[in-house]
Amino acid sequence: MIEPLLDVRNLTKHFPLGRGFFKKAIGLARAVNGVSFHIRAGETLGLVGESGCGKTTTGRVILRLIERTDGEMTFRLDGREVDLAALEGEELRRFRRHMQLIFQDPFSSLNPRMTCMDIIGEPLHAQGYSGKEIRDRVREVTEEVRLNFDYLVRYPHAFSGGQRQRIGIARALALRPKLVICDEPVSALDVSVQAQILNLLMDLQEKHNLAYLFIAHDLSVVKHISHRVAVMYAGRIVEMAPTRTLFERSLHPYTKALMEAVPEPVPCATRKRQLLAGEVADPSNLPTGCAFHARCGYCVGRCRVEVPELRELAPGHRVACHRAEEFLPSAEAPLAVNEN
Amino acid sequence: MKNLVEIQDLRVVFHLREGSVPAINGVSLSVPFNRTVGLVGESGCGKSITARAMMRILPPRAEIAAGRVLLAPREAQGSEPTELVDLDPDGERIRSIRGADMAMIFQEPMTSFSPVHTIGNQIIEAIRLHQKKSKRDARALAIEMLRLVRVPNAERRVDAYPYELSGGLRQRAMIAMALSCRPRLLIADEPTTALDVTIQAQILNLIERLQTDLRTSVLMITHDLGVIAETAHEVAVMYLGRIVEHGSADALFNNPRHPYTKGLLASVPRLSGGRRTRLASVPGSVPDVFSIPRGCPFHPRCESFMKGVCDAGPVPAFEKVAPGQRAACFLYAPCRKSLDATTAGATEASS
Repeated sequence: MIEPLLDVRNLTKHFPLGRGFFKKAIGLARAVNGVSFHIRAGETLGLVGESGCGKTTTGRVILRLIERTDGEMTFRLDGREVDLAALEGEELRRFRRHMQLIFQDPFSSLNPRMTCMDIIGEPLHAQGYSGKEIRDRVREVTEEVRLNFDYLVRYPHAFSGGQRQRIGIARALALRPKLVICDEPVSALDVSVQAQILNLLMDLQEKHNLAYLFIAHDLSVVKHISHRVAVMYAGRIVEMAPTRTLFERSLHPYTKALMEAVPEPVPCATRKRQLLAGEVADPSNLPTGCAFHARCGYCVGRCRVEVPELRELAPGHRVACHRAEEFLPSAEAPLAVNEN
Repeated sequence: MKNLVEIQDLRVVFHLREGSVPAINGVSLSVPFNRTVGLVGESGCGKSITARAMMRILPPRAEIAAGRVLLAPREAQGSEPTELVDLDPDGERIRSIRGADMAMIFQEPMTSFSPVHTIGNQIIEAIRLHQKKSKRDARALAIEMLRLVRVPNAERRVDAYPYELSGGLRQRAMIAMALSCRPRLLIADEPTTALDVTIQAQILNLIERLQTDLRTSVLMITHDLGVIAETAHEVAVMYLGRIVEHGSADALFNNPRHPYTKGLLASVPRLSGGRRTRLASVPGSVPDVFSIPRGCPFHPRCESFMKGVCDAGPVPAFEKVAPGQRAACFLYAPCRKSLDATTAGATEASS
């Protein structure tokens, strides 16, 4: 078995909620509540969920852009294990070359006062590369993302949304990172351009054996690009499985509902839709027991009091649901659906 | 009139410092009674501008250069349709039509509500503007509308400020406000783009149900082909200020005619599709308005590009290419009409 590149165990992030001038603590927003997963080199782990489920926070904690509350993060680099949470100061700054981020919005994530050449070269500059090295590497990486090097003297406003996203990708790849966290990289783009960027990301992964943590709310995009998918709800992973398993034999009621909600470009699709009632749980006021219980059609008494563990029910297929066994295809008896 | 609204050869021009640029280049589209028409296209194709031209709420630098927008009369008003283009955009007449005959919901419900008034007061204002109702009756109607769009605890929520509501509830309140005067046409401009999928499904269901129950016509504007497939009876595809294809939803999704429509459909990743295959994509990106290509404006990105035909100069005519399906592409003989006219003209001139 290949050792994972990144191993995250029991990651937790609680934001204090303050009120008034002195930010008197009045509560906690439990954004991430004990998330565990790993990513191997060359692999894409899709992290999917609705807004406020903690997927972006997870990505930022791994990158050390915000500090974790609890949990462990191990990064395997040339055979040695690095504890990400323990890195400090200069050591952390130098380590950042191995982990980079691609942002959602190609308009606000590029400095309008810098030329695109400088934008792509900035991470190299920060890591102490010389002028010539920077120029060579920028040229190389620009070709990889299929942009014309001669245009880079221009400022971001001169480029279209798709081109800007290529610039953002080039900037992330300039340091040859091992892990790239893609935070909704295509959701701001038009469909025809979105397809180009997804294809590009897959090509680059193959070429450089990149590991992606692909954060998105769009299930069809995640399905398309990921090897494995983790579904998050209210700060926890509720289901994780190889992509095909997850989309063909999902076991968690939330995953199923999420898939049914996606509008497919097939008219008059005779799909029976189970619409989820209600809204995403509030991280500062999480329900007791399973956070999904209030919206779940299969909720029983136990769900209201006991938080379900993430259990492995089939090889590589983990589910956090008390009733998951009953959803396994082998289960004979039809399920009783609660009508409330 | 057969249809509720008929747009005929609409042209909208933006007067910018750099010069005048056409945003809408001859759009003709009808919205039949009690139907949902989808208007789909990528950003900058002019779909929102078309809707704003209908409502006469174009931004200050935009001007309707030509065309007509006809609104069918209400039963009590006789038989003459109202020509919206001729109306003063700030006048009495159009203000009585907005809200009462045509209402619009926007993408971002946070910015389309006033943040300093409760949603109830904003709905009440809309009601009292168009109907002679006491404050108390208007408030009762506002609560009833909020119930209709399934806002839980409507009696309490009517006094909530927009910031106190979640995105989904805000969009419901927006729909309640738009429908409070029972408009005949609801224009929904990307109504679910800012929402999560499970909330999006709720809102789409709601719009569909209201469309049937209240017998409203809906113009659904979106970039999301999935949303169109779920809601629309008819679909028009726009590219660079022109409609390039129009037909029933079935025909358009099962048998698209225009290469742009085909490309768009192929580039959508699908849940039912395979994993990690390369997606088909439309090469290049939408050109900016100052450098719209000669001839068929789609030709630099087109897979079926025919040299000397598509880039020759004339724009393909928008004609019937199959029963119930119209398209503007030189692949189809009827659309070459515009080409023939020019060549004929050129031959005459040279002889």
